[in-house]
Amino acid sequence: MKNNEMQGKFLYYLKNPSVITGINPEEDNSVEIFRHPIPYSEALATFSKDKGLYMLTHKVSDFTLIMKALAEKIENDLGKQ
Amino acid sequence: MEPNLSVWEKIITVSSPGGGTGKSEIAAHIAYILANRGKSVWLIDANLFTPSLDILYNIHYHNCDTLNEFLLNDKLSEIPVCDISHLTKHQSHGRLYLTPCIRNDSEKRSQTETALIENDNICEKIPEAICQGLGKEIDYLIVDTHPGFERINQAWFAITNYLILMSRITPVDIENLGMLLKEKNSWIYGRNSWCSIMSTLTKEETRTKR
Repeated sequence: MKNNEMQGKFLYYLKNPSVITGINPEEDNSVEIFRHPIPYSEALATFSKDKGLYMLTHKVSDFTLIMKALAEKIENDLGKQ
Repeated sequence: MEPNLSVWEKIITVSSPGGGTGKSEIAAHIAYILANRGKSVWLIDANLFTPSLDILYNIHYHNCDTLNEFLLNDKLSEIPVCDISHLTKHQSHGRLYLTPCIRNDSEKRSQTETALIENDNICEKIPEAICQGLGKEIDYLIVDTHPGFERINQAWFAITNYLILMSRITPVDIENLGMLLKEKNSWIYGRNSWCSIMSTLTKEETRTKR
């Protein structure tokens, strides 16, 4: 499957989450699909672990920005409870 | 022991139906980011078959017991923890703790795997130990599990408040994810649990074949 096909499928699931979850989001909003899929990255896949965490040397990569967005989401979601 | 609700609200678990989705990478980065935002974060490497958090952080844990020792030793009531806050940028603010998992000792790994199969009670001490550990000014506990949803993972799910499920955009992974979610209410009990699905895009097949 090519990346644009995967992106297309992801967008379909994002718009129609019940296809995966089996749950109507209007009835139960406790399951959601995070809107930023993690793109395949050759740099991440081949990153040398001797350098520590990937984000320390790739500060503005897609992956790093998605991780920051996820951390913020977790704080917001758990803060709402 | 009946812990107060706030203890359980701190627990985040990262899991997936299949392997190779980037669970450990996600767990390691989220823990690091939250610690750098001034939070005290406890990260447990519960990937008993392919642990890697120590590799991702590029650290060694010679002076620290592991999750395996906790599971195998009935006398150990506390889950071992290493303080790795020196890795964070602002060490005076947040804290970062790691419970590692045995990676190089194949005998002990094998013992753990056998114990998980043969000892029905091995998971029972997890909730109480977590509850005790979380009393130590921890803001978040992040558990990085191995793939799949067998008994030990279900033990983690049962105490999880916020579950992050990683999935690749492949028919098999999506189908397995759907099957798991149908069971969600049977393994996350009675709290305001949240479940967030993250997707990883795999390398293009055409490039893989080249």
